[in-house]
Amino acid sequence: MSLTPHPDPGAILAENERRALEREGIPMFLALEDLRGPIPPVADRAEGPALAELTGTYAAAVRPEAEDGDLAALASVVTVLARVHFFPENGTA
Amino acid sequence: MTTGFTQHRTALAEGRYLRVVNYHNTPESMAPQLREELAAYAESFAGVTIADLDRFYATGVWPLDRPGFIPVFYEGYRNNHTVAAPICDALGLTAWFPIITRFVDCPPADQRAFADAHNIDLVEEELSSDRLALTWDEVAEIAERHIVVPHTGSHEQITNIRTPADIDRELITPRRKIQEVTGQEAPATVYLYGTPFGTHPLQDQAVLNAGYRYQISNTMLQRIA
Repeated sequence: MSLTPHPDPGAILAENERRALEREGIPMFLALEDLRGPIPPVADRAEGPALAELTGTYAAAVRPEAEDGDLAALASVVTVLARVHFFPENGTA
Repeated sequence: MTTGFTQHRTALAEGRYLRVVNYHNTPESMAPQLREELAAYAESFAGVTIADLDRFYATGVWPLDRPGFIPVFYEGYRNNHTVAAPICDALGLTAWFPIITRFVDCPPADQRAFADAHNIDLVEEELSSDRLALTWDEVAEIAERHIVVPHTGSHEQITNIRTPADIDRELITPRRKIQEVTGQEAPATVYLYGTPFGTHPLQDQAVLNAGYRYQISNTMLQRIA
């Protein structure tokens, strides 16, 4: 799937919010965190840097007012990201 | 700690992320669509076991030939056993099943009322079913090929778990019961509304004391012990 930003992320968010979530799958990208200490550096970051950039792009588009720690807004933005860019672009991690 | 946009973007940029698809009800009418979706995921991704996850956290490397992916089936619905698990089995996908243990404990005749009282959504086509939740035998069967973890005892949100009795009912007993029934570790927990670890000290300590090693939230999978 392309890593080009979707032209209308607001429409994707609206579509996500219309879905019957009790019976439809909700794709997400979960951040992995280790509270015991840093996870060793990940050699194969794959499309991670592009996904991070897209998260910022979509946040600015659909939740521009959100505080950095607004987890509900973050979840909404990540559902947009995952709905558009879930499948890897070239089959690698 | 990953508690906001900046930290989430950092995790993505550093390659610390995992794809999941969160499901709830999987009624028979949904089977063709679910099979098609999961088949597409199975072509591109590899299922993730606890051992795979432990390995990633220890080394930063996935022991997988494709990107990792977890189909997650929440609540402990009977239709997760009759529909979702067999599809995952046929596709060779490892799925995770966070179950509300008191929903499973509930007598079938009382399960609809329990669901109504505990934010458990039902589908119209199953309202007349004689049973809505998994049985413990079905939980054990699912755990032979998949990961079963507690979704609290009562589908409870973190702020309602305050007393020692609450902690026992929602965090300690669910883990013990699943482990007794499945014979396997139940290493993770997840609250109603997916609150992350690190926001409520009393409950965080209770989760650690109960022996959990991971906490799942809406946007994170945290290794906590």
